[in-house]
Amino acid sequence: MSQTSPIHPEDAKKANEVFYASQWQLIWRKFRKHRVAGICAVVLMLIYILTMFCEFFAPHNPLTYNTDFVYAPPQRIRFVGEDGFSFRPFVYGYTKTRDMRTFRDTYEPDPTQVFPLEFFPEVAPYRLLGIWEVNRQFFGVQEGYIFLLGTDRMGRDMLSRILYGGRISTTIGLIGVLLSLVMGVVIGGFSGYFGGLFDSIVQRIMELLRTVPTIPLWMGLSAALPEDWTPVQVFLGISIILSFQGWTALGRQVRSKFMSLKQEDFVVAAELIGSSRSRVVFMHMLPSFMSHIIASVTLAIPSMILGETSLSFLGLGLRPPIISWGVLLQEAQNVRTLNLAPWLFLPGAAVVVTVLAFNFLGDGLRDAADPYGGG
Amino acid sequence: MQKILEIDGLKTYFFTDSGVVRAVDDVGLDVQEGSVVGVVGESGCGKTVMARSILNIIEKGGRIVSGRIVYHKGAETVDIASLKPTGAAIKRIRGREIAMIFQEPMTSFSPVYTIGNQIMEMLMVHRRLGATEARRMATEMLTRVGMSKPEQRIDEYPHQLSGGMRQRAMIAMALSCDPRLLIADEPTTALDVTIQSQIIELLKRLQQELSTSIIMITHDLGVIAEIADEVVVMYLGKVVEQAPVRKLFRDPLHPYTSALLRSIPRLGRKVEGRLPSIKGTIPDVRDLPPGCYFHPRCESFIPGVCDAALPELRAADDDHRARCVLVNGVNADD
Amino acid sequence: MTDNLILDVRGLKKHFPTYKGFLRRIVGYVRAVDGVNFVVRKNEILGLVGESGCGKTTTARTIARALDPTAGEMLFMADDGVVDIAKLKRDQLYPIRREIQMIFQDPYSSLNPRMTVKQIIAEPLKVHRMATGAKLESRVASLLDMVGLRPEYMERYPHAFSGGQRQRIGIARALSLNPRLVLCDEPVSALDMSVQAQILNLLQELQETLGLSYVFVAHDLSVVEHVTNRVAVMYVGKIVELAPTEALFGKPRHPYTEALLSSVPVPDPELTLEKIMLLGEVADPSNPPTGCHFHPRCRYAEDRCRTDTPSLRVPAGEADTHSVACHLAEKLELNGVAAE
Repeated sequence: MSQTSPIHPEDAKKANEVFYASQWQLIWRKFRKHRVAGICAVVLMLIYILTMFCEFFAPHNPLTYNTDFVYAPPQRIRFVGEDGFSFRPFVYGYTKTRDMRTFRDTYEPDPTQVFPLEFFPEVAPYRLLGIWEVNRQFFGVQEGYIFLLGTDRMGRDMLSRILYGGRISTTIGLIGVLLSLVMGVVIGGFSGYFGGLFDSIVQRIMELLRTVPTIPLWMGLSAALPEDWTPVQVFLGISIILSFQGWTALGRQVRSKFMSLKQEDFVVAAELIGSSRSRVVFMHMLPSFMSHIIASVTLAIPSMILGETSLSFLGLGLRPPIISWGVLLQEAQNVRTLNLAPWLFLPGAAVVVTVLAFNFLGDGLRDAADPYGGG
Repeated sequence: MQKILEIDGLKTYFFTDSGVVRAVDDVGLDVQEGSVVGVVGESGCGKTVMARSILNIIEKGGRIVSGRIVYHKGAETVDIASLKPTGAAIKRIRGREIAMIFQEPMTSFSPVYTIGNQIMEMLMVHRRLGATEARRMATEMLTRVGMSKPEQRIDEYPHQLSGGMRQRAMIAMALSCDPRLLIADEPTTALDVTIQSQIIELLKRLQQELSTSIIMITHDLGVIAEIADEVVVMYLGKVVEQAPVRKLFRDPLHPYTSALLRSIPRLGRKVEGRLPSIKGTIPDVRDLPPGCYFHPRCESFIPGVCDAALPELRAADDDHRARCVLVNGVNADD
Repeated sequence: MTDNLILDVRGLKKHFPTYKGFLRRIVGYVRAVDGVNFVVRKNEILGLVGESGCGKTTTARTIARALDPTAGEMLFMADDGVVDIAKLKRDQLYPIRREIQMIFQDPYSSLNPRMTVKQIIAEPLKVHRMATGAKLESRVASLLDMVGLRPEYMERYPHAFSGGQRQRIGIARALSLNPRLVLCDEPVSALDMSVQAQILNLLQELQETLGLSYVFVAHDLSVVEHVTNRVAVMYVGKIVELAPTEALFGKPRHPYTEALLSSVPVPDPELTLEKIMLLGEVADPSNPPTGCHFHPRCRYAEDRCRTDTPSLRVPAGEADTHSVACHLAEKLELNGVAAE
């Protein structure tokens, strides 16, 4: 019985690549194995593209109201109609009947009214992202009407409103996250690196800040900001002020990371060769947990989105005519809606999908963040 | 003497993303009643995986692929390798018939119970003792392993004890059910020399008093020399040499064993100049050299022979075997 | 006398405060290093041995000024005169860093996994502006060659190397600045035994060819006996015995040294020596016993050992290179491990 271990040239090549792989290449390798996180990254990219270019993707102006179609249900996109299959998708129009006892309109799809979808139709010129003038949209109907996700109490198109709302909801929190990030890394880093009295003081301040309850703070702040500010300015103001509390979570992480890294032999070695403090911090310590920071930022964004949503829902954040997911949900805030027009809760689904996607992506990033796995 | 454990053709593989790791590859050894078998080797040699295979507590990703681990209990025999790792049959053997102690005692103690509680639980579950009786026994065990002030220590939590005391407590727990075989996985590696010699002394004494058999896993040839009767030398998942302790140290047959013995400095026998060192490094288990795994580092390498085929374990005499083409002897497998 | 010295450590202390309570008040000190005196000569390997918590690693790290000393002097004979390293402020240490370097125990944590081998070894040269460009690269290549690694591998990351190879990289980094004193902190204890001898040989070779001085910290007495010229045995923050290696191993004068030597497991089953079993465990450096710290474990202890702290001295009838901190040094006949 003789055994020789087969060495595949391919394996050897793979091993060789690993020897030369930098931190980011190793992280990417590890991240790729995380299926769910990869899918979530794609989902998020889609969400950001759709909401960023909502003028292009949304079929209607989100503010245009249409009293003929109040609480109209979503239309289905169809390929098969009465006269057979068609390559061009189309929707049926509605027949509206009014219940004379309740004065409630009910809509039924009407197979006699066929509105074929048109892609990239010409529309009135508008400015994409406020920069380029464009006169085409993603889709529309030449004649008739199209409400793929239904309409609200003023007959406004929900799909367009969700896309426009998403633009505000997914970006407004980023400013807060960015500010928390900068403050957390700088203050947490100094505190962990120098230790001593400065660290003790920073620690106590962090603890104090963390005890302040969030919702009363928001209420107070939204009342305290100048009255002539627009709702968006107010909200920006609040999220900036809130990041003064938000940085503590990240600050703690950075601090403890700095403290443990300071003990690492390779950091001691860098000090012993005479590197300056800034070199030790920027060449050795920061790169060691940059990836962790990215992961925790990814995990912090959904809480900012949820913050916006819940505050607007309570009427403390953004207010109409600004559209955000929270504002949309606030409008859906009664039992009658639930019964009559459940599609008004679709912004909630958008929030859930976005938040979950961020969380899974963050998990994947966190797992991949340390490719050296303890050793 | 009676055999208590027979391992034959044991293969324990790990299935990882980067390929199959043959951690233990065709290992065989016998443990006689009341003897101490030392298993010695360096990192990646598979000694710990082998030990864990005996109790079927292999870490995630690994499993016994083939081979037998036959445990003899009187006329009865059980093949542990064929038992389900979570089944009732193996649980009757674990802790009760075969006990294990680890390098880091903290991993086998729960931090939220006192050491007394944990030893008592063992006694109450496996030996069906009442609480007062179990406590009396636990105190006795702690006294026996040389724990100072056992009545006080029994109510302490693992983290309150020093490293040496924790190791003693773990030995007390392992021996509390009077197992017939004790597997000790690097029990002294994390300890200081003076504490290490206390623990070795303790194991030797207990082994004689209780006539327990011991499998001692270590990387330290000094520890092996002090305690073992039989020695198994492992390298990259394979047994490379097997012999009674005196024979192995006096007359090592495998070039790996002899080079290792020459390369370690010995107290009181200072070598002038340089130590005779072994060249190269231990290959990765996933990327083994062809032929004899040791040939790239071997002084007696014969081109065309050693790198062509992996030699079998050959018997030089009735109790000394080595996996090397230079050994004049019969194929041990025949 | 001072001519052949490179380092003179006098009364070195390193105490770590222990805190308690909300206000983190200092409630005590761990006396990790508590008044040690020794010298390191040029071209010498001085061993520091002892069990965990004895202060050997803290001593080395304090000399390297990875830690700031609590008290004492560390006189380093630099090219341009004597410098007391203990008194230097952090930002004054820059020129001294070139002279004193360190080799770490754990080859895995001592190399930044995010830098290539070239970056790791070139960093000290860049920081001290000793080389740039092609000169830097050839210097890195020659350093790798010197420690027995192939210069082609310099673009690889540390995870491509085994423990022993990583330790070689660590040695190349430490030697890149041409230091005169190298602190080796357990340089082989984390390595596999078949690799230890290679690294020990390399360290010895470099010491001889480059004329270096080492402070060699280790707990493995057989390694220390093989490598060092003189040895200091430490116990709970103090040196208990300091002597030339041969004298210390052959005829120890401190009961702790004797017990330490006796407890080393010998890889020879035919040798059945009577072992000296030390009772109990190493004392707690934040609350050491009175008198001689070793007295609770010492089998020769007398009354005065419990009350009077012995100082390091040359016992009567001993060569003046051999000093010991034991009241009973003259009375005791202790056994070493001299070859038969």
